[in-house]
Amino acid sequence: MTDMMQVARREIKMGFRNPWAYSFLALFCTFSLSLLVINSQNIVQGYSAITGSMLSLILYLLPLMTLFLGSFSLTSEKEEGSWQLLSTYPMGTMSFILGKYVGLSAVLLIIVAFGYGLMGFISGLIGINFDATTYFLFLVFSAGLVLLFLTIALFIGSLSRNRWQALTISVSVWFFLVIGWPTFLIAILGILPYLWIKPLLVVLTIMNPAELVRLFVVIKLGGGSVLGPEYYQWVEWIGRPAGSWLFIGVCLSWIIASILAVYWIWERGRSRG
Amino acid sequence: MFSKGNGSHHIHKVRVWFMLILMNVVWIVPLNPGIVIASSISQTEAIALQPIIDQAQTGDVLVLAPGTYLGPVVIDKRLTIRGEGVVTLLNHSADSAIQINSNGVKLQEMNIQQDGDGESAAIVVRADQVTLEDLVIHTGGYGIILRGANGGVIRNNIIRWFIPKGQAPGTRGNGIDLYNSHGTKIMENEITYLRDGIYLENSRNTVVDQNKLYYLRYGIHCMYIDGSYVTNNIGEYNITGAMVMGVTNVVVSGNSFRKQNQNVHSQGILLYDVHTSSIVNNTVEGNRVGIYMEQSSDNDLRDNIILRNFIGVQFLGAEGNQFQSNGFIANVIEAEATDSKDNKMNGNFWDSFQGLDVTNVGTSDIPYAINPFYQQLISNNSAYQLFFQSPGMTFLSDMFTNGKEEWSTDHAPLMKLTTGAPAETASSYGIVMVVGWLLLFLSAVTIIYLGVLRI
Amino acid sequence: MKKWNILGLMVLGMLLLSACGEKKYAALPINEEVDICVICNMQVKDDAFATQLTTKDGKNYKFDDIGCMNKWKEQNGSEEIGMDYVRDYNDKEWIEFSKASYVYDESLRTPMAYGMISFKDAGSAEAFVKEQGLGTVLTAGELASHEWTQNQNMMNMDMMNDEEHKDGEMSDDMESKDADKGMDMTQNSSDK
Repeated sequence: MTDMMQVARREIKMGFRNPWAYSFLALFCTFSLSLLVINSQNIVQGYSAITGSMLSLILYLLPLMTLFLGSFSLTSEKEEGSWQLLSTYPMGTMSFILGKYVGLSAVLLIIVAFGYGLMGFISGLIGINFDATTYFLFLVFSAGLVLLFLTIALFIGSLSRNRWQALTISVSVWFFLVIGWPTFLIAILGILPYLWIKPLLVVLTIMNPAELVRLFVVIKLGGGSVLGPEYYQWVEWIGRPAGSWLFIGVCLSWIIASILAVYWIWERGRSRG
Repeated sequence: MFSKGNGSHHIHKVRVWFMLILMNVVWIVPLNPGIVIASSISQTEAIALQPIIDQAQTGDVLVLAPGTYLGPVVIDKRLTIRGEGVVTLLNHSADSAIQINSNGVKLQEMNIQQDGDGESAAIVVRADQVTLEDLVIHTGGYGIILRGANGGVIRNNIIRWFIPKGQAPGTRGNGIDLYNSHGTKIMENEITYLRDGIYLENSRNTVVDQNKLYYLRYGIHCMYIDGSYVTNNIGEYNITGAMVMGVTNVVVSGNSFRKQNQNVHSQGILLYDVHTSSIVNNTVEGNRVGIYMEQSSDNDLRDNIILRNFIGVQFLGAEGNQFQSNGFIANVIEAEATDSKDNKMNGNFWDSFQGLDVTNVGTSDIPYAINPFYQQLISNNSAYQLFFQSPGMTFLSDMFTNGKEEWSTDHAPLMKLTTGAPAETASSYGIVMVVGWLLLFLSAVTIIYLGVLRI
Repeated sequence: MKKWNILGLMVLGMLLLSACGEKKYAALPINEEVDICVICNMQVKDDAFATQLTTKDGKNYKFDDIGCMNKWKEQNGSEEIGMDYVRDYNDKEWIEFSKASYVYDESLRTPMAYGMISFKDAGSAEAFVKEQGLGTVLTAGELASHEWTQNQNMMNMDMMNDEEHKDGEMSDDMESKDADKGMDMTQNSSDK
């Protein structure tokens, strides 16, 4: 436990000395503020064009930022040889990975908090109608994205040998999950029998954190009816308070499962020396 | 209306006569001024209304003294029945509380409570030139039914669905239900919680004006009502605001349909098999689909405000329509159109569209084309609706430019909307500022403490 | 990730296979919350007028009126249909379209005014006609040559949905006169 906290603290310190963190912070703030200013005549509430484009913007930006910062942090351990050093200490691999995860989450969440803080503060100053529920929902949405994509980032970081490899893999994973997703799915599902499409689509959606979190927020914003007759029971379920717990449960199992997988990779690497 | 015959002489006579009756029953009926419709007054305390009607003569004006009366009644002569003070007519039977079988009957200022559900109705009219005004109707089934009743006036009534005490909720019927009843005026009514607010079938030249329709299945549902007017109505929280089907030469104008977004098939205005009609000056806000048009041609859609809907307008097989000077603001997807050719589209304002007005005439020189990709995709398999406005989906739609010349296109989109969009304010945006400030402060402190200061 | 996907696919495949073992084109229950008529967009009520068909690849379409299903068949052809169902007017049991008996009369009120209702056997169809004193009994084969029209100009009132009263005293003359007047007004108001 103390080992883990040690690693986490070190991670946070390194995180805020990393210029990448600040460039992403700047990018995030600039984009969210300009979106707000463009739509300053309109109220930000429920599912509308403004919240829809904010969702897209965040989906483009946050996963990429998380993948970069997370995977680089792990590859740099390898590149700089600090992992070799740490391996000689009597410290569990699990403490190391959990510490990494906690530390990186803290860094990323603080960046997100700063961005949203600025957004809320400025929208108040220039008199934009920003509904509180919508604001909190977006905060949760961003936090969820960061936490889920961080596990993928650790994965990438574990599998890549150096920073450049991590960069390449991160970009491709991001492209696949965020931009190419419908294209790939429609192409693949199109050749399957009609009755297979919907169940497969549901399973694959749960596997994609970007879609999972996006749909949760769309439903919570009141836009569930656009998803159509196929999913109305789900929409109804998630719309209820118990639905949030279900969502948190799915996210947690996601995180736990991927951390265990990452642990397994590192443990294997450690035993091989 | 009422000047025929010796009616005016009768008013006083009837009143006096009626007072006499009341004297007798006044001891039995505790006159409760704050009487509520669903009161638990039992049948024995209420006055039977039918004998009073039977005593009256054609052309009479019956003024009912405050109190509770008991239905069902059948009116088969020309009478005017008006409540004075709080007059409540209860009907526990399966028949209609009031059946009107005679032309020219007027019914005014009463509360009517119809316990029966399903097909049973508070008022059934089978005669012409009947006036129903200032009524408050609570019904388990239908509100007002008109069958083969022409030239009626239904004005300023409140019609609500209710569950009679001690009963399970029944099947709801329609608020005002017209069949084969032409030239009726339905105005200023407020209808809530029923199935369809105003249902019109085979009823031509009907006027539906300034009604308020909330929490219904369809606010206004009409089939085969050529030459009718649906104007200035307000609908909120229904599955569909106005469902207009199988009509020609209908005017739908000045209506406001908002927040029809809960059901997977919700929309503000649905037009199916509608021809040579005008749909102008309506506001559709916050609906799943603002205006949905299918299999409709030669209509004029103009000056509508389409605000904050998930999908602004959706066209399917709509051809030869005029679609001009409508304003699209803050819709998640502005428009979808498939199989819709030869529509004359121009001068609409699309807020997400970046036009270019080189010639400075107020309209853009770049056309606005509606991409049909998503609609085509989900029409093949509605399971793909999961991709609605997913970032990848917008990316894919943008790549899809097949047959672009066939897309529904606005050739001269408006650069600026002249009429302002109705503004709405969120109740709690002060909180956002405070929380924002707090978050900003805390995160900044953490960053400085952990990152900048090297401890 | 990859392993998960493969595992998920396997589990799913098994589920699907077990589901496919059941009868192929069973009639699905009507869900009033989400089912709308594919043709006319109206809600499909869980009543005797509802119909449905399942295509050979398993797509299910529901209709609120036999006439709407007929329209679908006109538009899409019947080759792809795995099974089509109508309902018995009396007990709402799903019956195969080809095995049902039908009663048509223009005064019968159905959701889209096609005036066609279905029965599970010829006996109950004839009983209905006898009881109502109107209507023609048709077989599924005879429906092919039926002229599907929606009744929009009803001159006589029908009593299908009003049990309360049979008063038929409306004068037909007056009705049609009014209808004529209606047409005139329509023309006046048509040019916006």
